[in-house]
Amino acid sequence: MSGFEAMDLVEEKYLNEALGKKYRRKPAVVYWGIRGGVAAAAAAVFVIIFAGVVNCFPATAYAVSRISFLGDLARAVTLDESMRVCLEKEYAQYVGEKRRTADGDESEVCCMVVDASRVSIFFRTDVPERGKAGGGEDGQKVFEAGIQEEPGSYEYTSMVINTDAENLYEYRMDFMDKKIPEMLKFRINYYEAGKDGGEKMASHSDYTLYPDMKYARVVKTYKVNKSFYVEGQKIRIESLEIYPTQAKLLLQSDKGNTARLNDISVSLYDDKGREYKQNRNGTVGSYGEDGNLAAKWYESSYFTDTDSITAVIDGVEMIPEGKRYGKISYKDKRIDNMPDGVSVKKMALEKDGRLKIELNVPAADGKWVYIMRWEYIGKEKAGDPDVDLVVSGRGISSDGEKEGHVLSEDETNGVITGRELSIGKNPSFEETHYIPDYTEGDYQSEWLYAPMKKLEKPVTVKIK
Amino acid sequence: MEEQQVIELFWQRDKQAIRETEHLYAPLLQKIAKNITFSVEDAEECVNDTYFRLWNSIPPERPMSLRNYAARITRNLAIDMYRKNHSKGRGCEMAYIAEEIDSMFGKADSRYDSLELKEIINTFLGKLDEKNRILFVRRYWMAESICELAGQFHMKESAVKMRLSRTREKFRKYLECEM
Repeated sequence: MSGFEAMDLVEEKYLNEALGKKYRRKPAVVYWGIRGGVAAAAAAVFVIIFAGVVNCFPATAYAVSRISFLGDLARAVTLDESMRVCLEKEYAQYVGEKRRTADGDESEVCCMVVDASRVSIFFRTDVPERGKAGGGEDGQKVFEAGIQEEPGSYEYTSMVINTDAENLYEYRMDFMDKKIPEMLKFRINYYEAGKDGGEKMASHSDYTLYPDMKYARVVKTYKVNKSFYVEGQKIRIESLEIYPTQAKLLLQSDKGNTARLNDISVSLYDDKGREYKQNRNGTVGSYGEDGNLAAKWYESSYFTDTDSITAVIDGVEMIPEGKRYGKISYKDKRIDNMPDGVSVKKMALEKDGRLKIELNVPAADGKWVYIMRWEYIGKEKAGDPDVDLVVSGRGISSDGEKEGHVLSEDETNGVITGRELSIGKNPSFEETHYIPDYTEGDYQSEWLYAPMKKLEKPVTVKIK
Repeated sequence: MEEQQVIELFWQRDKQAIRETEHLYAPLLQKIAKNITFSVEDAEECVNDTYFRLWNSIPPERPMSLRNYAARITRNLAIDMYRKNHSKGRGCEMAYIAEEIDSMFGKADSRYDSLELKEIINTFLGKLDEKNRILFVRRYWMAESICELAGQFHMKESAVKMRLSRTREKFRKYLECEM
C-alpha cells in the first residue's frame, strides 16, 4: 500500500470536517454611508488622458420583452450609478430561470451583470431577507443567498443588496484579481422561524449559472506610473482600470517607506467636471501583501463621453512602522501604540480562557473598517508561531439612535470573533475581539487605522 | 434532494440518482479529480467513471455519506490516472504531494496492515488542532495546492508550507513511536 492509498484510511468524520468546512472571505475595506466631500481648493495631482470613450462590449441581442425588463431593472437600481448605467446600456446577461420549492417558495434569477471585476446576480424571491425581517413570527420564512460551493481559488467579497423594487435583490461578488469563475452554483436558502425564536432551514433553490466569459474580458487599463511624496513616503499610482461596473485606481507604496499606507483620500473627476465617487455598497479598496493600500474602487466612466480623468489627492492615513504593532497585556489592561482616539473599554478573561477585548473607537467619516487585528507571537503552543488572524469590524451609529444593535459579526473556527455595536446619539464605535486560550505576553495587535490627515500642500504631477 | 433520498433512488435503480448526485457533488468531485490529475479531460473521465461505479456498487452498499463515498471513488480513480500519466511528466503539483507523503510514511506502509495504519493515522489526526488537521487532509487526501490552501485559509503560502512541514514531522515521529 502506498502513502497515497494509506491516506484513504482517513475516517469519515475527518473527511466531513475537511470537505464541509467553508471559510468566509475576509472583506477588504467596505464602506457604508456617505464619505465627506473633497476640499474645493485641492489641486489636480494626476491627469489621465485617453482618446475617446471605449464602448466596445459584446453585442447582445435582446427581444423587446427583455429590453423593457432591463429598463425596469435599471430604474430599481438607484444606489449604484455605474450598475444602473450598465443595465440601461443593456450590458447584462439574461438568465430568466425560475424555481419553486416543495414548500411553494418561488424565486427567479433574472440576469447577471459581469465584468472582470464583478459578477452581480439579480434575483427575485417572495420572502424577506434573513436578519432584516425583524423578529419572525412562528412559521415566517426568510431567505439567505450565497454560493453553494466555493468556486476555487478566487479572492472575492460578496453581499446581498436591496434594490428599490420589492423582492428584487442583487447578489454581488467583487473579485480582486481580474479573474472570475466560469460556473457558479447559486443557492437561495429558506429558513422558517420557530416558536423558540430560532430559525431552521426549510428548503432551498439552486441555480447553476455560467457567466459569459466574453464579458469577463471587458476592461480598459490606463497606465499612469507616476509617483508622489506624502509625509516623506513615496506612493506611486500605477494605473487606472475601468470596468463597466466600477473603476480601480491601483497604487504601490515604495519599499523604502517607513509608514504603512492605510488609506488615501482621492477623488476622480472628468473633463466635464463630473465626479466619480467611491463605491458605497461593496468593496471600496484592497490591500497588498505588504499591508499597504493597493487599490481604491470607484464608480465607472466606462459608458460616459469622457476624454480625461483627474485624480485629486487631499488626505492620507499613514501608520508609522514603529507604531504599527502593539503588545497586548491583560495584566496591565493595555495595548501599546494605540492610535489617537482609540481606547480600551474593557479587557476580561472569560471562564473558557479566552480574552475579550472591547475597544472604543472615535467617530469616522462613514468608514466601516477593521481597526485592529491580533496575532500570536509566542514560542510555545503546539510549537507553531504562525500567524492566526482574527477579523473584526466596527459599526456606525446615527443621530437619535439610543439603543445598541449588532450590525455584523464574523465567525472564524466556530467562534464569534467580532461584533459591532452602534451606541448612543453621538457617532461612536465599539470593536470587540476574542483571543482563545490567551496567555500573557504572547499576543500583539496590528493597527489598521489612523486618523485621516488632510494635505496642507497639494502635490502636482501631470500625465499626458 | 437530501443524500439519503438519493441513496434510496440508487437502491430503487432509478437513474435519477445519477442526475441528483451530479447536481449535488459534481463540482467537488471535479475539483478532487483535477487536483490530482491536473487535466480537465482526465478529471472529467474520473468523475464520469465515479457515477458508473456508484451505480454498480449501490446496492449492495449503503454508504453513511454519499458525498464522502463518491469522493473516495473519484480520488482513487484519479490517483490511478495520475500514475498512468506520471511517467509522461504531467502534474508537477502531484509529484510534490507524492514526495511529501512518501517522506511522511517512509517504509511504514509496508510494515503495517491497513487496519493498523488506519488506527495510527486517525489517532494522529485526532491529536491535531482543527486548522492543522483540515490543512493536512485537504493537502494529502484532496491534493489541494499550496496556493489554494493559502487562499482558503487567508494565510501566506509560506505559512501553509510551514504548518504542513511541521505536521508531517510530527506524524513521522508519531509513527516511529508506534513502531
